Amino acid sequence: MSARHVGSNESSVALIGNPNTGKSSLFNALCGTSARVGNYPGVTVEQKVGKLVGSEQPIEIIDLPGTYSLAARSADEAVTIDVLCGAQQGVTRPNAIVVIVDATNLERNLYLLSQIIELELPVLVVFNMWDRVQEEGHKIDISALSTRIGLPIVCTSASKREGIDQVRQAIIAMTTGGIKALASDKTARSSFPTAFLNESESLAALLKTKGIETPRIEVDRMLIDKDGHFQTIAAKAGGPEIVQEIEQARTRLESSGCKIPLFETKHRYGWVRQQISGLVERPPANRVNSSDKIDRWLTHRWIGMAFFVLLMFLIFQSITLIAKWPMGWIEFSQGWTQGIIEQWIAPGALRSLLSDGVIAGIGSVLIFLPQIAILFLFIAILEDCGYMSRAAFVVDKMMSTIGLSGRSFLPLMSSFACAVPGIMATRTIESVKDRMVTILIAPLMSCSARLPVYILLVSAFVPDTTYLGGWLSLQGAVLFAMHCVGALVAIPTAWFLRKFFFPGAASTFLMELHSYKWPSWFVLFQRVRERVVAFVSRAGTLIFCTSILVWAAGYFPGDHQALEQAQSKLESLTASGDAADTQAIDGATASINAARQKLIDESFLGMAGKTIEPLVKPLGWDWKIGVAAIASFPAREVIIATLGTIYSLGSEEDESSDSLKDQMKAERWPDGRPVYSLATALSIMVFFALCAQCSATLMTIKRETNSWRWPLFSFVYMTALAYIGAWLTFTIATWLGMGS
Amino acid sequence: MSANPVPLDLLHPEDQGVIVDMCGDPCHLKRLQEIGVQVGCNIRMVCPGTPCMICVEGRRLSLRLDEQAEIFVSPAGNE
Repeated sequence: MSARHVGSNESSVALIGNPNTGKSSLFNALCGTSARVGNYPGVTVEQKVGKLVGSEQPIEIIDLPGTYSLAARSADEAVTIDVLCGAQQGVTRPNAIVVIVDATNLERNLYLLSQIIELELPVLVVFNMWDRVQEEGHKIDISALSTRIGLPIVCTSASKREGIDQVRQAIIAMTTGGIKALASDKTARSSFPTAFLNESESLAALLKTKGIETPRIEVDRMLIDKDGHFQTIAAKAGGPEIVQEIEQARTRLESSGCKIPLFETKHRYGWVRQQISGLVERPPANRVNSSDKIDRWLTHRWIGMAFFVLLMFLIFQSITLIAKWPMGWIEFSQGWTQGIIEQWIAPGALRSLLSDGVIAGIGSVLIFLPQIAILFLFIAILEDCGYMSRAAFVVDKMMSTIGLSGRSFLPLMSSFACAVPGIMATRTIESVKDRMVTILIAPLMSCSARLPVYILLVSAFVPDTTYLGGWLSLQGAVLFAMHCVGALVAIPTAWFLRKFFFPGAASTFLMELHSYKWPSWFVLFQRVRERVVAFVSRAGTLIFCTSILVWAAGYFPGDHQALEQAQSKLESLTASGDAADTQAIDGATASINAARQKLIDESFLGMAGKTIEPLVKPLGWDWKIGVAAIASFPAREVIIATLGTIYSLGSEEDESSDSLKDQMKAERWPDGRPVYSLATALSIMVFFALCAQCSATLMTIKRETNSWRWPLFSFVYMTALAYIGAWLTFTIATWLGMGS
Repeated sequence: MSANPVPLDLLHPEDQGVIVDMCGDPCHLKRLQEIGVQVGCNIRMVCPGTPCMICVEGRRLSLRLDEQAEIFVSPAGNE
């Protein structure tokens, strides 16, 4: 078995429960830190750790992914049980466990509790959603139930922050030895058939003879879960002999009437019913409620699908409409800052570095912060109100035709915001083949880093035409279409991957859909803030460094003396304010422009760009776009910063062409034709829609698949798709007359 | 509870009943049981088809009805 991680001085307590029992809300309330709360089962894909507020001794709280059982099927559930058993690398085994129970659905929630108490750790039971218990008229005799089970029970309404102090006190009591682990004769295991208990003992003894010390719960799981997580671990540690012994034990159990794995649910639910018998009364379930009325429309085969497409269309329309104002403010601040720098710093390398490198580079990326915040807000609203799981239900039939299930839909939707959490969210997919295909197509979904590229090109080169009294804009429609490109290409890609790389029967689809609710403003704020901070810090680190490198490559090795002299001359002429000097001003401006163009053409960047120009010319690009696209392979939003720096270095000395958009419009081929036509803009956008330009995504694929093969595969297939797609787009658009 | 058990996929929207039998692949059945679908549970069809949406003891679940698991329900008639 893997090394056990025990023996830390600090106490640690794990929070576990079924999905959507309010676990993350309780974690936030206990630790005073933020965690994502969602409606989709298994939204907590990452392990979250916090410190218990109000405790004199430091107590670490670990928020584990929601699970229905310890029979690990998905990667997410495997992490949960590994942490609880102390087998997870880098995580100390918790000293105690808090089991969060949805008190309105005791039977199913206590099933998980029946497994947890067999971990032989002190356990605190939290009956959450107590407000709903009272509203719906459930009757639960808490003190009698607590005595019968033999564990302390605390009632809370975590979303309203009620009962949190009692949980805190109980956790402190647990870690100071005030609560003991439950005696084994009180657990559900004590009612398991004797044949099973004997087989478990013999398997444990066999493992011991091989020097593999295994806790009882893990031995049990090896026997119960066919091809499960612990069987795989046993096979690795003990070889095929152990697996053979496990299979023989299962055959013996089957013949003695102990049906593997179904006997477990039978005995555990039996134990649960015994515990709650006579102590719990609940109102009649399955009444039609408001969620059902909404679902009748939103999950309708055709109406539901049409609603989903319309909703996405409206979201992208509103992004273009709402973000116009904040974008203008940021653009104004960028111009203002550049003005200040030019006023205070004399012409030279430092002024160019700050103005052309830092401000033009980072500023052009930061302009897109409002759109990204708005996109994240919409996605967070849809997730938190419970709509996303309905959308997964609606698309399941369509997904089944390409061999996937609705389960893949949520990670893919999440990838529209960012592929990194999208790929991590695939941990909730049980089928390994489905998970692999989902990971490989997730980067095709148009993430928020592509949004700046689209917005820049759409607002500069797509006509600002509106329809329906200004409510429907052509620019918004093109933006929506660009987001569809990746998703549409993902359909045949997924089919191809499933058919040739991961063949096998279609997986099953089983998912819980939670009731609709109003999104929590706190949760929305937290999620938008999280992403905005991530975006800004990326702009401040990776994009900052790239901007400086691109600036240096575009600044050196030229001799800037002529340019600086012309700049100083122009500044003194402008400062004197003499109208008679107009001709001299024009002359100085012309020599600045000529010097700038010559310097950028002769720079390292210019030389490199000219070398690759033949490669990108078929796509309708000049060397500057080619260099910017190549520089943006580590992170796609770098293209904006790179173009900002390149055009700022080679920009015309003209007040009206401050913005990157205007500078792009002014770019010319040597023969005087504009570099950017609608066809060029579409070709760049399609390239960015399909290309794997994100080192963070490729690293995440490496981590999740545990191999370099798949990130390399993604990179190669997506880059090839992007080149072919951009070439086709440029060729067709030029043929349609968009090339000038 | 007078009618004969019928497969779940024959229920119409808002039809209610009690699960009387489940058969199919044991591993898939166990998953269904762990998520709360078991013999004796009250069940209501919300949206039939593949996948279908059902309400089991007040919890809405969506699942594909295929050969991996067959669920038989004793219908209780519409309320």
